[in-house]
Amino acid sequence: MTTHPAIELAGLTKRFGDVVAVDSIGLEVGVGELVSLLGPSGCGKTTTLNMVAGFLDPDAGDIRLHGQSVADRPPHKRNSGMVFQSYALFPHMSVFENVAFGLRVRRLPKAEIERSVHEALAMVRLDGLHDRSTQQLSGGQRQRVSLARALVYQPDVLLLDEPFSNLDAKLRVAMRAELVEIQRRAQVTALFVTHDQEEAMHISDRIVVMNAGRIEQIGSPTDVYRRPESVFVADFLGEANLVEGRIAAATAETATVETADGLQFRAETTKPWSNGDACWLMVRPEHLVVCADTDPAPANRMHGTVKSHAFLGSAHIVQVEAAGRDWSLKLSDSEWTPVAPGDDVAIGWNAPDCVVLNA
Amino acid sequence: MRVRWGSFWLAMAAFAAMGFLIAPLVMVVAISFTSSQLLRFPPEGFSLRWYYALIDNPQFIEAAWTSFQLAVACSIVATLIGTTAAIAIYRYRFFGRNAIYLLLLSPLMLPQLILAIALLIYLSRAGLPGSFLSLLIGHVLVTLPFVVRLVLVGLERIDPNIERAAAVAGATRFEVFFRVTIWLIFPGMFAGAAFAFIMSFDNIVVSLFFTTSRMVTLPVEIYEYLEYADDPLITAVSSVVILLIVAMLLVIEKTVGFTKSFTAVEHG
Ligand SMILES: Nc1ncnc2c1ncn2[C@@H]1O[C@H](COP(=O)(O)OP(=O)(O)OP(=O)(O)O)[C@@H](O)[C@H]1O
Ligand SMILES: [Mg+2]
Repeated sequence: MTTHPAIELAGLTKRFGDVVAVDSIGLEVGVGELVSLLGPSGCGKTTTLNMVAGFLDPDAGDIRLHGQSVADRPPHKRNSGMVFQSYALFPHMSVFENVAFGLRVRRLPKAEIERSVHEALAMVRLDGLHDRSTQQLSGGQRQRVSLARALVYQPDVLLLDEPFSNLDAKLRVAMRAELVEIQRRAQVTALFVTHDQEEAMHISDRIVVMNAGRIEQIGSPTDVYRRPESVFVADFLGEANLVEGRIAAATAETATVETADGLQFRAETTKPWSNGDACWLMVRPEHLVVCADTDPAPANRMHGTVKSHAFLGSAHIVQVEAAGRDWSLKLSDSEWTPVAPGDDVAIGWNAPDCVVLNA
Repeated sequence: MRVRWGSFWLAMAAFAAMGFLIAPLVMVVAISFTSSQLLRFPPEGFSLRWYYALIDNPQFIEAAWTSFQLAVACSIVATLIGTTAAIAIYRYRFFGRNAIYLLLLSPLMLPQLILAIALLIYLSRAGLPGSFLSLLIGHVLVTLPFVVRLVLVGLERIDPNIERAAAVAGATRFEVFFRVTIWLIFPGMFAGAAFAFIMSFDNIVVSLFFTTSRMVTLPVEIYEYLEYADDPLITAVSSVVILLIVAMLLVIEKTVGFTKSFTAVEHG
């Protein structure tokens, strides 16, 4: 038997009138993987998830779960589990009955339902609360009930649509780690929708960055952050200093980018570039450093003036004006040498720390 | 402690409104205990003579029984049809959907008188003159809009993801409806049923057209009695009806939770 990906989307398309909400998406999610759909509001994440769940019929393309096309199957025949931002618990049922729902409609024997529900509640650390009404639970507890409800019948895929967006900031972060642990333990394939890049980076095996109904890039969190393939991905995942220019010289591993005002920067690259190609240079604020004159010069170095400084606790954000534009630097508190607005400084970064992107 | 004048005046206004609504009821009950022949407030003396007179006029009890049966039947039929219609209107985008919605709500805006005349013409053509069935049809017609509205409000407040969650978990459409949806709209259905019951029990305009000498509803009986007599007998009838309705409301409140149903409709 060949093993199929748990989820396979092929040419999946959905239109609402003139709006192409999802535009020919292709994606494979391996068994047990946790993959995030990440993108700005309105880019088609929920629409994609709703098609996988069966709430929306695709206009084109196919959805296969474990190799079987489910595009023609109603939601209740897809053996998937779903967690919603609004919790969507059944208000007329106790915690126990909420979790038991999927087992009851599967007509399982009473004893087995009892056992599975208690196991599921233990997994989300809610044992002992089975008698509660859902109205008596906090937001975090409600979302755990809904997670238990979605996992109790061992679905083939778990679909989550911004499940933590209604929780407060601290809890949201705590729930991320918990979700990953539960997902590993349940060995379930998960498709997770979020517009929060940090959340996606934190929990995902792979991230699918979406923009305007299309996939911009698929890769591990490290990949999409360090090696974005487009200006959109570079900009959407964290902060980025972006400079427009042209390739002035290129070898197999390096490229020299020249800006319109004649500045040259050196970058390492894996893509083949030719002289004259229009491109963008991207460097993350945390890769920029303030360098003393005695330092061995980093490959790229400029003089500039400090415009502003802000202390965020774990890091300092410094804006420096150099070469006619503003550069954003993020310096960790431990390597901080005080600078103040108006100071002349030298800033720079190493060639491997920047990325050359297609214009 | 600071006195919250806003809520104080609000409370006073609520009490005043309640007093205004309840005062006539209190007057009716008070007059029913009068020992005089006159339908007049304040009552003179105290006696149960009009309650004894009630026993000598069994047509009132018969009419009350007819009205009760009619109200129960009307509330059941209107709730079943109204709920089905509300769900169809809310869920499905079909041809003529708006027309049906407006048609269902039109009895709200048409004077009952016109409705009753139209129905009389229609039903007698169909060979259905005054009878329990024609009374029922008339009453269902005027109560249906309330049920449809109340159930629609209930439906509009459901988070659609709740039903989706049930479907993903493996419930067929049928199971989603009977295990989830119906419980979510139950408060609206219940309020609709209660409304239909009370409106039917109370209705006179439509009933006037369809009662026969053998099938008279209580409001019609009272109305006709008042035409040739103006003694306090009808206050005794009214008091008994008030007592029965209060008793019924209390039972419902204790079992299903009446106020809860209405506030559930309010707050979703
Ligand atoms: N039922 C619908 N009818 C018409 N247009 C819709 C419908 N649902 C979504 N759209 C449109 O499709 C596009 C994608 O919507 P979708 O809900 O998938 O975005 P999203 O990525 O989930 O955004 P968000 O982060 O805001 O939830 C948007 O332009 C939206 O306006
Ligand atoms: Mg969404």
